[in-house]
Amino acid sequence: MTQKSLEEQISAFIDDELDPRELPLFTAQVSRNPDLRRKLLRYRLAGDCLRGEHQRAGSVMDLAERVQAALIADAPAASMAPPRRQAPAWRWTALGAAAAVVLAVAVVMQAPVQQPTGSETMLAASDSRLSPITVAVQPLPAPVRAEAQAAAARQMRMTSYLVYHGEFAGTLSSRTVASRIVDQDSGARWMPARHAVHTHD
Amino acid sequence: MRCIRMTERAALRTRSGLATLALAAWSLPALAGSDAQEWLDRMAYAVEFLNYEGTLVHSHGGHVSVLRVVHRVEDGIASERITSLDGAGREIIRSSEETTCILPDEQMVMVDQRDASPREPGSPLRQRVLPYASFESAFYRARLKGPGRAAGRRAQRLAVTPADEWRYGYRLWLDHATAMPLKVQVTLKDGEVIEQLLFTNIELPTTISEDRVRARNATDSYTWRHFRAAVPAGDAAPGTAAWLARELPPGFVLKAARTKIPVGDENGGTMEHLVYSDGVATVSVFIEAAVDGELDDEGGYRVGAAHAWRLRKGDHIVTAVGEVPARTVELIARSVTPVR
Repeated sequence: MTQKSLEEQISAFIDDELDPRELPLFTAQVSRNPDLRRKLLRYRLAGDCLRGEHQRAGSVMDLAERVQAALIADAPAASMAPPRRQAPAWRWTALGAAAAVVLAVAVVMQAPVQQPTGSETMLAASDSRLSPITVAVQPLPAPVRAEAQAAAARQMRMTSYLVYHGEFAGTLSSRTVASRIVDQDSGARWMPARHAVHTHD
Repeated sequence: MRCIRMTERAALRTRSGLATLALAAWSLPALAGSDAQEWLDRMAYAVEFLNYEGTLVHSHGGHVSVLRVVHRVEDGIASERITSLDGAGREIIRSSEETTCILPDEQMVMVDQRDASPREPGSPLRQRVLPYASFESAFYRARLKGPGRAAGRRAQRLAVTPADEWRYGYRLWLDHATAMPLKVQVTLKDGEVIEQLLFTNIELPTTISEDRVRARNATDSYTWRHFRAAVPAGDAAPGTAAWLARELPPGFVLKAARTKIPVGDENGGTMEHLVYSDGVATVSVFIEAAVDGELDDEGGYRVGAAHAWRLRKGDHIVTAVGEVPARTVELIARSVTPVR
């Protein structure tokens, strides 16, 4: 693969337009190439900044999810294929390595997003070799601040409920309840839900 | 102001009754059975009583969180540590006596204590309102689905299908050797996946050192809040409940009631806790005194497969929470009334 085509793949990946058939090879390349991982990280952070999404940690996580989904989709498919010679060991090793890299990238991408100080904020990955990205940020409007405070209060309240609820959760739910407790953003992610069986005035 | 019309309430009741009748017919062919149930029983045992340590990826609605799970069993007594690998590094430490949640971002530790007596070997880490998930009921159908792979290990796939839209279904990849759930997908009745838990790696060693289940955060400077029910949860009897849900989805029954548990806020208030279950899913209902002012977050909320419903009932606030569809928590929350 030429460097140019790789760049095109990166752009397509960032824009969620990469052909799914190209994902496995692309993720394998990401797993082997630290420069490529850093480039992806910077592109993604820059994209999030331009869209004003840099304060939502979850917005950068979909990258990891997409890569992870590709790996997950690949693994069972391989195992369900018609019997044939056993897959070479390197394949599973590569998948495992790629999965590890995905997690590493995910963790790196969650890292230090500093809060605004004055009129600008700086985004920097935990990898010190990355150049910081500096962008202008407008102060949050009052309604947004109020919503943030309400979300924080909701988060603590839901965390308390979940701690109690988790004591009684069944085998299949206990891990997801625990995940919602330790996910510090989970409370803020409680979004209004549509009524399933009623309509309201 | 949101409200429910009486005609809708009546219609809902009718739908519930019809659903029960439909379920009776639906469940006539015996659940596939015993083989699937045997795997599920082994799964419940494995989760509780095997040593394991692994990285768990939890994804839902475009969000991914990564957890480290360490589960240790020594002389039949289990303990575990669950740590978030992203964010502030929140932790849950479970022992046989208490559950400790460490929230570095809030500089807070929340401790939910159980009864005063030490647990016997073989006691579960959580309150046992569901001895083993009961999939052999009119409300779920469990079936073996053939071989698969997850976390690089051979797996047995199972599908648990709900009988109606009051509960979720599950697709499971159970470790072929131990029945440990390596991958769990939560699905709607039509099969759509709405949440997934996946071990990207897992080890099942013979022993795990005690140090592995100790908290990683230094908590000396944190605020500690001890939650302890006035009625020990283990002895909680449904008959002691001061509030009850008068209308339940088919199959859900009251399993436990705890009184005067701390709300967990700075006001030091207490609340009631009711636990309803259909044998697989559980819904918790919390009833607390309303503070002055309007309830500004009344309504339904969701994150992943979990839903909550919150509304005001006179001088109290009722909140129902569970890994169930929105309609289930809504129905239960709306029907909660004082016993007297």
